[in-house]
Parts: sequence; C-alpha cells; structure tokens
Amino acid sequence: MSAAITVNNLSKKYGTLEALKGISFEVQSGEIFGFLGPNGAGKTTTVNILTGILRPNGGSATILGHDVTKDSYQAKERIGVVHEVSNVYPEYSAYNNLMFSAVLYSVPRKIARERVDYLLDIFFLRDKKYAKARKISQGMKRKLAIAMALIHQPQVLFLDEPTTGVDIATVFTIREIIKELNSRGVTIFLTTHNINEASIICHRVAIINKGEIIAIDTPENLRKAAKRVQSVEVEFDVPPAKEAEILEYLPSASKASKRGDKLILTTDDPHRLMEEILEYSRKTGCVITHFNTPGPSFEDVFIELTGIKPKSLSAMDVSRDG
Amino acid sequence: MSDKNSSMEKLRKEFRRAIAIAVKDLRIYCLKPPVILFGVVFPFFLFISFYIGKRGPIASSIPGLVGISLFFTSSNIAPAGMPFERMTKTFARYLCAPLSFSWVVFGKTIAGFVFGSLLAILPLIVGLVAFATRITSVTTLVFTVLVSAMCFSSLGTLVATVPTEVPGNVMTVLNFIRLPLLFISGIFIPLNEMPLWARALSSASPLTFANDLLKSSLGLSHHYPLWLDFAAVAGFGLAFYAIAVLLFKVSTSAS
Repeated sequence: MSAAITVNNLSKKYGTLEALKGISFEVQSGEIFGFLGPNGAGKTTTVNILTGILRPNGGSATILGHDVTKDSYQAKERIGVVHEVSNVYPEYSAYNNLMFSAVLYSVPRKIARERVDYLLDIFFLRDKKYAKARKISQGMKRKLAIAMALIHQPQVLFLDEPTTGVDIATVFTIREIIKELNSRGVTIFLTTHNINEASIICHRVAIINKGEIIAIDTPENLRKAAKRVQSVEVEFDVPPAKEAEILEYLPSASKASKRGDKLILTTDDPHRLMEEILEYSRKTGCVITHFNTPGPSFEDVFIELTGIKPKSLSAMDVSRDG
Repeated sequence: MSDKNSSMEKLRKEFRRAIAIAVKDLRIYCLKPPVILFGVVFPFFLFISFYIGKRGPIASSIPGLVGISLFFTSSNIAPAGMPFERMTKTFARYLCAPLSFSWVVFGKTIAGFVFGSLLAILPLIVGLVAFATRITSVTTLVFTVLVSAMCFSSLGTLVATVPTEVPGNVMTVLNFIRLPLLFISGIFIPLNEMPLWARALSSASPLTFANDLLKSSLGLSHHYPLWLDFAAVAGFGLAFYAIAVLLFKVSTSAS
C-alpha cells in the first residue's frame, strides 16, 4: 500500500503562537484516517495546509506524491474538500452549485450533468435540484457540500466535521457514503470531534494536542494501550440512589458515573472490584442484572492522552476525591 | 504530452475556471442591493446634482456620465461579493481549487468588467437618442470602454481584499477612494480650467484619462494625446491588478 498523504516535520506559526510543532504522519491509500483533537489543537491548520489554503513555515507535505506548496496545482486537482461550514452558494440552486464545482475542476459538461443527477440521487436531494440552497435545511446543505466535493471524483477526500449539526438520518447517510467511497478506493481524511464516530468508521486515528501528534494507531490498539484506564459496567435491579453511595462499598473504584440505568465504575484493579460488587450485592440484596468489563472506551483514551476533562463530565461523575 | 502542451492545457483550464467565477459572480451579485445602490443609483444622482449646478449643454456632459457610470459599476461587483463569500466561507472554495490567486483575481475582475461595460451603454444610448451625442470614433469608444472597465474593475477587486465579512465596510473604503478620484478627474471641472497643481493632481486618477478618451471618441475636445490616455488607463489597471493579487496572497496567508 502506498502513501496518499505524507506529512513531514510540518510546522506553522501565527505570530508567536506555534500552531504546529513539526508534526509527521502518513495516510495510506484507501485508508479512512481520523484526525482528532480538542479545539485549537492544530487540526484545521493541518487540513488548511494540506488543502492548499495555508502555507507552512517549515516541513513538507505531499498528496499522492505532489508537494502541497511546490506542486499545489497537481495536488489540488486530486483532492475534494468538505469544509467545517457547509459553504454552498445560497443564491444558487443545488444543480448550479454542483455544476459550478464541476467547472472549477474541469469536469466536461455532459459528464458533469450525469454526475449531478447521480449525486443528487444518492444524497436524497433529487427533489431539491432547482431549489435555492438558502431554502434547504442544514442537513441538506451539508449533503450538498459533500456532493460538491465529489463531483470531480477525487482520489483523496478531506472531511472537516462532516456530521456536526445535522440530524441522525443525515449522519447515517453521510457515514454510509464515506464507507462506500472508501470501498471504491477513495482515501478519506476525517477531522472530527466525535470520538465515537472516529472509532466506528476510521481505520486509524491520529490524536493531536497543542500542535503535536500524541498518538497514531487503530482505535482498538489505542484502547488496548490505555491499560491504566479500566472500567466495569454494572446494573442492579434496584439502582443505588446516588453514585457516591455505592463508592462506600467499593474501595477499588476510583470513580462512578451513570449511563442510563448502568453504573460505569473506573478502577485500576477490575478483578478486586468485581469481588467487591458481588459482596455489595450480597449485603444489600440488590440483584445484578447486567455485568460487563468493556475496557476503556475510545473517549477514555482520548481524555487520558489529551489530559482534557470536560467540565460537564466532572460535574456528572462522582470521584472518590470529590 | 510535452511541457509546452501541458502548460497550455493548464492555462486553458485555469482561464475557464476564472470565467466560471466571473459568470457565477454576475449571476449572483449584479442585482445585490449594494451593487444597485452604489454602482447605479448613487453615481446617477451624483451626476444629476452636479449637472444642475453646472447648467451647461447636456450633450457635453454625456462623456462624463458614461465615465462615472463605468467607474462606479465596474468597481462594484467584487466589493459587493467578496465579503459575502468570506461570510459564507465560499471563498475557501477558490483556495482549494486548482487555480492560482492571479486567476481568481482575474475571474473577479472580469465580472466587474462585463457588468460595467454593459451598463455604460445605457447613458450612451440616452445621449445618442435624446441629446444628439455623436460618436466620432467607434474604435476609440469601444477600446476606451473595455480598457477603462477592466481598470476600474481591478480597482474594485483591489479594495475587495479588505479582510471583512461586511459588504458595508468594503463599500466605505471603496467610496473613500472613488470619490476623491472622481472629483479630481476633470469630469466636473474641465482639465484646462484647473490650476496647474490641480491638473497635476488629476493625473493620479485613472478616471481623468478615461474621461479624456470618452470626450475624444464623442467628438469633444480632449486634453492629452490618445496614446497617453490609453497607456495611463492600462497602466493603472495593471498596477491595481498586481496589487490585488499581492494583497490576496498576504490577507489569505495571514488569516
């Protein structure tokens, strides 16, 4: 397998702020590559350099062997870009938006018309063909923006937060289309905040924080690597009123949180915790209706690697330290 | 394919892409309120108010009206469209497309050029039909309209590099530049009636030379030789275009 994207020691500064501190990675042809990180980590800067919007201060990057700064014309002809915002022309119809994109990438008119019809069909936009983009829903605009990026059949597709702010049906449509494109050999570079989405559809992910790549691997390997974080999932027929209450009986659990009716307990010794849960069940008479040791979630891995602990999570969780 | 053929193919593709940008801009922005207000209504009433104060024969003022019309309409499309494209983030589409900055600027400029050239015909028709204006040199007139429209449109594209998402902000800057260039141009006070210092100052305005060319092609006395007028308008246009490309590069890499 050859590299579709290579990034070598790439750096970018905005004044004194170092947005990228010499990052390096490769994306193989035919791969769905997730690029994750908190706000301000350097995700958009990386994408903007790779798509030719920004010039780096140092290092190099290539797309299908074409340098993104020295040979940007060749690189740009081979990529499709879906920006974070659905940047369609609001005064243009879906048809005109797609045809304009086709001209920007020199797709012959007859072929463009056929592709427009095909794309409108697969994105369920056929009945909005001549509707002005400002009159269609956010989800439809998102799909139209993706369709515009596909009109010239790019070999590498950059997707920046493709499912943010759209309804669940659109999310599923977009995910299916990403998988379908990938099955046809299109390399996908997916920037997302949605950790679960990345773990569902990406072959590999890179996590970037403060301008540095802190991990690159498959979602599964990253989970395995984060052995310190272990969780136990348990459900009782009579759930404890408060998470703090059960922690008194389970000295091995460092944290408890609720996910629906289930309690998620964090520990560094799952075996001992299991024994304590059984002991708790015997003492209180609460029957265990569900028990599982799923290991660390991808979200746990992300939080551990980036050192981010969202305020909302802190508020919902009950830790032993309070 | 040889390198020469490959370069020609690239050039052809980029030209078509730039024209696509121009067509799109014309279809989307030519009826936008800022374009109509600042490009058509404002210069028309400005001309009327000065004409009433001047009280001369209206036929002698037709070149001035055509000049003002060209100046304002040609320079209005890019400043009306670009902030809107920054706001909707559609401008990023050009940056990701296989298209250099100079071609993007070319496409934007062509839109203003076409719009300005077409609208300049209106006051000319009014002059021909209602005020017995006569064209003494069709060739000079056609070239004057085309070269001037390109020059003024480049000025508009240059001003559109102001990195803002509010069209009103760009229009303010544009009028801040356009109005002084209009007042020193010799349209309201003929060049031969100006003191020497004012005449020297008037050469800082491309409209001075465009107006001189229009006067010549419509049978009125003109001040400079035609070759100098054409060279000056074309020179201003090229300078505006080059600075616009440079500023686009700078403003994009800074954002």
